[in-house]
Amino acid sequence: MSSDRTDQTPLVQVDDLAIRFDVSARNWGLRSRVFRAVDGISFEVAKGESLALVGESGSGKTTTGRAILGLYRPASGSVRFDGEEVSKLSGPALRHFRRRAQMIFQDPYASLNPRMKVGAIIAEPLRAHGFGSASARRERVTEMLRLVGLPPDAANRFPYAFSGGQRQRIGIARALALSPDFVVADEPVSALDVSVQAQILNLLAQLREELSLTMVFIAHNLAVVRHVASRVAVMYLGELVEIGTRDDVFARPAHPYTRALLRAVPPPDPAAGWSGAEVSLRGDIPSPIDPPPGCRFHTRCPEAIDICKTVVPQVQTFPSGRKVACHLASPEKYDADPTDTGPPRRP
Amino acid sequence: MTRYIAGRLGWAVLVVFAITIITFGVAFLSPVDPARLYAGLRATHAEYEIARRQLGLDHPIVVQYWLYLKRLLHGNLGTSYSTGEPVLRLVLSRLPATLELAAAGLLVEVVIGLPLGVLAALKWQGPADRIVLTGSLLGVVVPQFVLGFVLLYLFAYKIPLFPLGATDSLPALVLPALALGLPGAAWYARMVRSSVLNVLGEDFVRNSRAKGLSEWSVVTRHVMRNSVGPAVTMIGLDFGIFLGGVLVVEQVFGWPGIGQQAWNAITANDIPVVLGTVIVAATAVVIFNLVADIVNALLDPRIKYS
Amino acid sequence: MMASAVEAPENALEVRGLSTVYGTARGQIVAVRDVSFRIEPGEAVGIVGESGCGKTAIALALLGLLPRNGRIASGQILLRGTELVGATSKVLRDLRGRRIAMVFQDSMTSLDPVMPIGRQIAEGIITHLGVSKDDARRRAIELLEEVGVPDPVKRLASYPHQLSGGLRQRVAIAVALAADPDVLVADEPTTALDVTIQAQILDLLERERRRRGMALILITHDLGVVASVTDRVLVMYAGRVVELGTTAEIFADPRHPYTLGLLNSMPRVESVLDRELPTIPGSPPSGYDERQGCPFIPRCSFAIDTCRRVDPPLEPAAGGGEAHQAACLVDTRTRRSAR
Repeated sequence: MSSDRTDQTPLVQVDDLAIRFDVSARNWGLRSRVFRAVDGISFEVAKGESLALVGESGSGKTTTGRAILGLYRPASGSVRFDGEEVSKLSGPALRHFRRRAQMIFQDPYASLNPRMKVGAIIAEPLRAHGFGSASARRERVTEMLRLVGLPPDAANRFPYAFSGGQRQRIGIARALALSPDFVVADEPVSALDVSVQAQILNLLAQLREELSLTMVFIAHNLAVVRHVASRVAVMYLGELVEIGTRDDVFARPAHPYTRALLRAVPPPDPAAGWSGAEVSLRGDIPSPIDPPPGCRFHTRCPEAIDICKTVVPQVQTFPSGRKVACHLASPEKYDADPTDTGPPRRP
Repeated sequence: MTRYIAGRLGWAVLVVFAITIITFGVAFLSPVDPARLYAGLRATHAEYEIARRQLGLDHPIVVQYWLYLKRLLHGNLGTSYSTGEPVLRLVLSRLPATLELAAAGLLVEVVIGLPLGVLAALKWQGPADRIVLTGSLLGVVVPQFVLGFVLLYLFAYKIPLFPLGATDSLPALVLPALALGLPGAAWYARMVRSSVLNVLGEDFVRNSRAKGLSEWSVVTRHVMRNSVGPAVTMIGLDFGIFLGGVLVVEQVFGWPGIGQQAWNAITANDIPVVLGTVIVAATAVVIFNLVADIVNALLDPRIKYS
Repeated sequence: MMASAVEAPENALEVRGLSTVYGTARGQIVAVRDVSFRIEPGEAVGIVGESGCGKTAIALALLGLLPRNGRIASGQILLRGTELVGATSKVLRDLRGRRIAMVFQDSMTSLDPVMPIGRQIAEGIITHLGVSKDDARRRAIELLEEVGVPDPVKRLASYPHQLSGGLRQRVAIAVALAADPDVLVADEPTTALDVTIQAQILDLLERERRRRGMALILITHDLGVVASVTDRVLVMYAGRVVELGTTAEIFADPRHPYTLGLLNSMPRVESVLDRELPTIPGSPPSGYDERQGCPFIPRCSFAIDTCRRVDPPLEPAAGGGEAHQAACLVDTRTRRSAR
């Protein structure tokens, strides 16, 4: 559970986090219906790490990302940032947290106020936190624009004058204006053209390096994740099914869902002979309001056995630090730890 | 669906309650002192006090409201200051005439407004569209009493197509219905036009053409049902607006409905009649809205779930 | 242009020199510029490109469904020999749904929200095949089964908003297949879907294509989808076809700098690049700037002088297969002029 440069305390610690939404308003409160968007997940993010939260619709990855920033209050469990419980922060402590933890949004067209000039958009967080004089802010804005690869005169123009990729750069500049040490990037390239995605991914990697950022990267595109993340957490219907280093998860996926996700991505290689039939997942993603009992994935899992239908799998921790929630997973099958001189791996 | 109706019904009841609170509040705050009227202008102070107690005016306000509510629920809307008759009976006697007029006005609105709106949308930016837009602007702008008098002058006096001053026959209904409904028709035409234009731009309309459906089928089977929603809601709200317009139109045409009665009551300071009319009219509006909501839910299955 | 010696009626679809324009407040945009291609029955052809490249405009033009402010400026579209450009509405109506059908990206908005899906499927059947309502209903149930909708009899009465995204898209496909068309145009059919559902839908499209011998035009921005599902590919940029050939050729030996750049800049699931991704600088054009010469110049690292003066025509790539064409004056392998 460690990357190259770690401190002892993880920067973000999520323990048994549950976020629930009340959807009973639709029924005049007659029947209490609770939507468990996130149902008891635990993980850590070490300083300097880039953790990808991966999943499909209803997985809870976006909700988790927002909960880390304190935008949702946990129904149970906790989110701790640098040791402090985020939901209990208030006043100056909360403001301090907000300076340190920022978000980059998905939609570069919706996340910038079309009536504000770019300079004002980037300066907004500076003003909100009492950054300094107007000229100091202007200087900072110019610096941020340079950092994200935009010309300084961009500050005087409006968002509509910029392309999607450029707008995303503006969004990034805004997020980094206060020099946060932690950023949640919510699908930052999903809305961009393919030829532009690579530019933004490179920019994010470069900024992460330059500014020593810790990042949680929410994505559904596994190819993007492989390029960007140092660790990967896979979510399904509000639960964490697998978490491990990038190489482990991609090369030796331990959970059937992870395997299915990886097989489901058609590779840009005609010779690979990929076919949609390979995925062999039955049916649709169940509604997160009414998840299946036992292992939530059992209704679609090609390897499900009887116990999967009734018993929720416990999270196992492999010696390598990888965690998997599956009745069928075991370290011998999936982990390859080069320093381990234990029993040879069974095929 | 039953849950939806029950919910709407619940709200309707609450709204009627709120109305009673408002009418009570108005009555309570009115400068006309019923005790003074009851006791007579020459009453002594003692007689005045007796009158107050008899009318229950010495109770605290909440109790007065409660008594008021109880009376309402028994159908007692008070008695007219002018004629001494029970208000409920007075209002109900005039109600049918107004309902007749309102129904006719609604018919005018729908029969003229809807098709014109659809036509304008389908022939967007063409001559038909421009005519409808300009015509509807006039309809919205001209005040109802002006419209009423103009219609009377032109079609009952100058060209005696319709009877003047009569209120009992079908031809007599035409001009007042037009006066009441034409402004609404203008509104409808614009609104339906806008709604249809919106729907025409939707993907599923394009998709139904992609299936090879004729333009007629596309419009009648897909566009219409998706466009009428706002119009149905408007009809519900309109009823309330009507009852305001009814006041004016009934005066102009001498139509013996609750509007005319309310007007006379207002000028005579006959507060119970005025408030009684308000309650009856408001309740009618609430019921009408309820019906409109239900019709909307029947037309658009998504509404039930929201 | 793809010259064919014989006017083969066996082409399911043939497009020649198609150009479409849109009129906007800011001026005219040429959305599709002189595009030509052929599709044989049963073939799967991918049209790949980014926003503004004109791929959706081509799809709409094929069905005669350009919006009010758009029109076909020139060219021919031959559907099994029948000319679509300038055809009467009656001809178009008869062909739409019956010979050529379309599936759109967003199934939520492409289905009528207030009509049960059973009727939406049956509509096409009744309109084109003239069968009775009962027969149409039976046929609709068969179609729902075919596309993998569980419990089809019950589902006939469902409304689109009651279905999940994957199911809805299956229904949209059933609607398109209702009258058994020869050509199916799918415009980003899986872009809005989760990746595991996408795989199912792609599998469905493939199965239906084989089963019916239907030609499939798959429009997408996803190179992975194109690589795995299509036989031939058209790469589009700024309204033009910049490269054309079999899928195998294009991925193994891309000849246009844009195609090359796209393939290089894509992160892959199967492998890791532990350094910067090579990128194409700049952004796709918006369509308003009419410049001389090749539209890709601002972003091209292979550009030579002539590129600025001449809009490169689509011609067979040097040393490539016969059917492999690229609109570029430079041989990307050697960086020297190819002509």
